[in-house]
Amino acid sequence: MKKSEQQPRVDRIVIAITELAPVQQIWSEALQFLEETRAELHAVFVEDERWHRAASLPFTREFSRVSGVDADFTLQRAIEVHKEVIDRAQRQLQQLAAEAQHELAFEVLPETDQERIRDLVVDGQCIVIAHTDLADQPLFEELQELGCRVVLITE
Amino acid sequence: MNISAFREFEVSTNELRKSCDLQTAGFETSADFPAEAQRLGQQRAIDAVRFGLQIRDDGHNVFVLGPAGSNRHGLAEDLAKERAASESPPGDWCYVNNFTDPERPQYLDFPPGRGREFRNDMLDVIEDLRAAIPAAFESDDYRAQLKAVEEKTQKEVEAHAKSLEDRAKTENIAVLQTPTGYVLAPIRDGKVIDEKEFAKRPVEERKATQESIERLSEELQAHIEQIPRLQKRHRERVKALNREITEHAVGVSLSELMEKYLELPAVVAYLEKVRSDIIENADDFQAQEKPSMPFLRRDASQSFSQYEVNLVVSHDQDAAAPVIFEPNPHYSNIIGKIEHRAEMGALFTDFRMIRPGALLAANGGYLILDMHRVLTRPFVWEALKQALFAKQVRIESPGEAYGFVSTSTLQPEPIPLDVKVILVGERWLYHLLAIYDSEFNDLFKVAADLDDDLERTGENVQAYASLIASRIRDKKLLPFGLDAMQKIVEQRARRADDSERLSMHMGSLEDLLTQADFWARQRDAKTVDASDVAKAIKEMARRLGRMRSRIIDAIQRDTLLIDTDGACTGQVNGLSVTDLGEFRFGHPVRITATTRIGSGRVVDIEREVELGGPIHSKGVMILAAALSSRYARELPLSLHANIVFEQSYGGVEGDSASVAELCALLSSLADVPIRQNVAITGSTNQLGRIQVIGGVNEKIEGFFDLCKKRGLDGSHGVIIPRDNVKHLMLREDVVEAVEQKQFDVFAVQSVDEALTLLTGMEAGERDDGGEFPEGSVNARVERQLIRYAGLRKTFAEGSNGDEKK
Repeated sequence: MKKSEQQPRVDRIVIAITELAPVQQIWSEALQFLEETRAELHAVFVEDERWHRAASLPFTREFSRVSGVDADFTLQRAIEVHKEVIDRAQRQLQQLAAEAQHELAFEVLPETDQERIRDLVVDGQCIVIAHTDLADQPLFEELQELGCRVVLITE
Repeated sequence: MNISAFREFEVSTNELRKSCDLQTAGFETSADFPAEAQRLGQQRAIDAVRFGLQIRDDGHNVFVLGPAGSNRHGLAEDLAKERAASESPPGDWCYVNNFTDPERPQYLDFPPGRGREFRNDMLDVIEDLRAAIPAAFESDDYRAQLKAVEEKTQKEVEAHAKSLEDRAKTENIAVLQTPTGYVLAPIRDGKVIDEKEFAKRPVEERKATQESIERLSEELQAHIEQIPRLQKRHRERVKALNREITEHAVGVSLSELMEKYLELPAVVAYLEKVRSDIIENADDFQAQEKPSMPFLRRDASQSFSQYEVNLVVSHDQDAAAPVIFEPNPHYSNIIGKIEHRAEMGALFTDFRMIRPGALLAANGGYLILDMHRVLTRPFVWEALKQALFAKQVRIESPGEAYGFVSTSTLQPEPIPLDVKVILVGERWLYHLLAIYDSEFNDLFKVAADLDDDLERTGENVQAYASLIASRIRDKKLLPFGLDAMQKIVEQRARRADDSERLSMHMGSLEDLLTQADFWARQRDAKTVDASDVAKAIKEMARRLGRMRSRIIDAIQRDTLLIDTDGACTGQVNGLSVTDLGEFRFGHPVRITATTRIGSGRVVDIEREVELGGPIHSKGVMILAAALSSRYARELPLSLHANIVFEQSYGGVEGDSASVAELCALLSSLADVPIRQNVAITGSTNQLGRIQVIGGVNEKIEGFFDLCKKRGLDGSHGVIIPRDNVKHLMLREDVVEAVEQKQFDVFAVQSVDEALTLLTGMEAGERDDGGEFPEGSVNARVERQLIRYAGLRKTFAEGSNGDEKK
C-alpha cells in the first residue's frame, strides 16, 4: 500500500468512497487516525456519473455474469445499478463502524457538488481518506485548494 | 323275579375298580422314587422327532401332534435341545449399507461371535473418523493447500478478466462491473462518455467504437462462459484435495480392519466400499455450520451412520445350535420387520432399522411353533412356507409381500435359511392340513403322534410312579405318600377311561398333584396322602358340578321324571354323559317307545326335530334293522314306532342308548313292563350284539347317585356291555355299595340278555322249528308283529273292496 500524506491536525475524518474504492483498506486507514485523534467520522460516497453516461448511449448493453445473456442498459437500469452500488458501500461501512463501535455519518455526494465538500472540510481541520482515483476527480483539486490533508490509498 | 337272581350277569367287585399296588421295597414317599424322564410311553413319537431332527433332506420338518396337556411342547423342546447340544453354533448375520443402492441393504455373514466383533470394530473406526476427518480439514496444512487452490483459481479468473479489460482499454472501451454483470462503454481520458459527447466524434470514430464494442461483447460473452468452467475446475481441485486429505485420514484405520478380516472376502470388499464412499463424500464430514433454524440441524452423528453395522443375529462361540420357541408367532415376530422413525411428519428408515424374526434367530438350529397360533395370525403360515421353500428369509411387510402397498421402502437382501421347524398342535389340525394343504405335506414330512395313554403293566406302573415323583420334585411339592401315589395311578386309569391303561395327559396330572399338595398344606401336613388326593378329586368335581346337582335336584323334585322303582311298559332308564372338558358326569334319561300298526317305520323323534345327531340317528336305524331282522322276517314290517328321549331339549348324539331304545320298543310291542330300578347303556348292531360305549364309569355313577339319594334297597343296578367291564374304574363308594349288595352292575352281550334282566322274563330263543318259546318276550313281540301285518292286510283289502264298489 502506498500513501501520499500531508501533515494533519484533525477534527474530522472524512472517508471519501467511490465506486472502485477499496472500502476495507480505506476504513482500516481511517481507524488508525480515529484511534490517534478521536476525530468525528464522516463518510461520503462521491458519485460517478458513469452509469448515466453509459446508459445514454443507445448501443450500450449489460451482460449477465451468470449466463452471458445481454440486455439493453437503460437509464432505469443505470439508476438501479447506481443505487445498488451506493447501498452496498453504505452497508459495508456501517458494518465496519458498528464492529469498531464508532458512529458514522454517511451521505452521497455528486462529483460536482463542491459546496458540500467545502462545508465538510472548512469547519475544522480534517483528513480526507480516499482511493487514488480521487486524484483524477475535480474534487481533489478543490480539496487541495482548501488546504485539506488528503490520504490516498492504493490497492 | 328279583334282578339279583341273575348272578351270571353280575360284575364282580374286583372288576369294578382295578386298584394299584406300589409296595416296592424301601420306598415310602415319592422322594424315594428314582427320577424318570418325562417321555414315558411316547417312544413312537420320540423316535419320530429324533428322526426328523437328524435327517437333513428337504421337507423333513416335524409336526408333533397330540391333545393339549400331553406335554407336546415340552417333548419337542427337550428333544430339540438334546440334538442342538451336540451341534456347533451357526454364524452371525449383519446388515450393512449398500452404497450403490441404499434401499437394498446387504448382508454379511460371519463365524459365530465375529459379527459382534466386527460391529464393535466399525463403531470404533467411526468414532476415530468422526474426530480425525474434521480435524484433517481443520489442519493448517489443509487450509494452506486450500488457500493455494483458491488463489490459483482466483488468478486464473483475474487473468482472464484482466486480459479482456486491457484489450478493451487499448480501444478506449471500459469494462464496467454492475452487481449482476458487465457493461462495455466508450471512454475518453479515463471517463465514460455520454451520448452528446459521442455524437461529437467523427463518424469513423463512432463506427469504429461501435465495432469494437461489438467485438468485445463477443469476447466478453466468451469470457463469461469460461467462468463456470473455471469454477468447475476449482471445485474439482478442491474435491481432489479433500479426497487426498480424507484418504490419508481413513487409510490407517480401515487398512488395519481389512487385515483383521482378511479371511472374509465379503467383509474386505465391504470395507473397500466404505473407504471409497468416505473418500467420495469427504465434504460431508467437514465441520458443519450452524443453521439458522436449529431444528433443521443435521445431527453430526448421522454423517457416519451409514457405516454402522446392524447385527441381526449373533451367537457365542461356545454356545450350541439355537433352539427357539416363539410364543407369539405373528408375522413380524417370525419373519422380521423394518422399523421406521417419525421426523417432522414423515417416516424414515434405513438398514439399521431392520429387525430379525424368529426364523433368523433360529437359523442354523431349530424353531418350535404352536400351529394353532400360527394359523390364527394373519399371513404367517404362507410366509413361513414361502421361507422354507425358498430357503431364505426376505424381511418385508405383509403389505409389500402381497403387493398391497407401492410406497418405496427397504428391500433387504434375503438371508439364506437353514432351519428345522417343529410345529406342535392338535391331531385334527395336522389331518386337516395334510388333506387340504398340499404344500404342508411337502414341508412337514415327519409326524410325531403322541399316545394318549400307556398300557398298565406292572413295569409301566412303576415307571409311571417315577414319572409322578419327578413331576412332584420339579414342581417342588410336598412328598406324596405311597397311598397317595397309588390313588393317583388309579385316577390316571380313570382318566384314560380304561382300567388297563394310564392316561398320558400331563396337564391334568400336574393339576391333580398341585391341588392335592394344596389340600395337604391346608392341614399343615408334611406329606400328601390319599385323602388329599381324594379331596382334590372331589373338590374339582364339586367346583364343576353345578349342572349335575341341578339335574339331580330336578329329578328329585320330579321336574325331570325318572322312576327308580316299579315297572312300566315301553319305558326304560337310559344313561347319558355330559362332558364339561376336564369333568364329566352321567345321569339317567327316560326313553320311551310307542308302537301301533303302520308301514314299518321306526320314528326317531329326536331326529325328526333335528335334535338328534347323525350317530344317534344311525343307532336308531340300526335298531330298526335289528327289529326287522329278528322278527317276522317273512312278513312285511307293519308297525309304526316312535322313540323319544323324554324331556330332552338340548340335543342327543351317540349310539350308546340304542340298546335301551330297542328294549323300550320291544317292551311296547310285547306289552311287557320294564323294571325302573335298573338303568341300561349300550350300543347294538343289527344282529342284536351289544357293543362298547364311552363314559361307562360316569353313567353307572350317575344312576347310583340318584338311587342313593332316594335310598338303595338292593334292587337297583346298571346294565352295561360286557366288553366295557375292562374300562371300569368306579368310585370307591360305588364299589362298596356293590360289595354290600346295595347296588349291582351287570354286563351283557346280547339284547336278549338285556331283555331278560330288564323284564325279569325269559327273552327266548328260536327252536329248531323257528319258534320262540311260548310266553317269552320275543314270542310276544313276534306275535304282535304278525298281528299288525294281518291287520294291515285286512285294512288294505278292505280299502280295495271299497274302491271297487
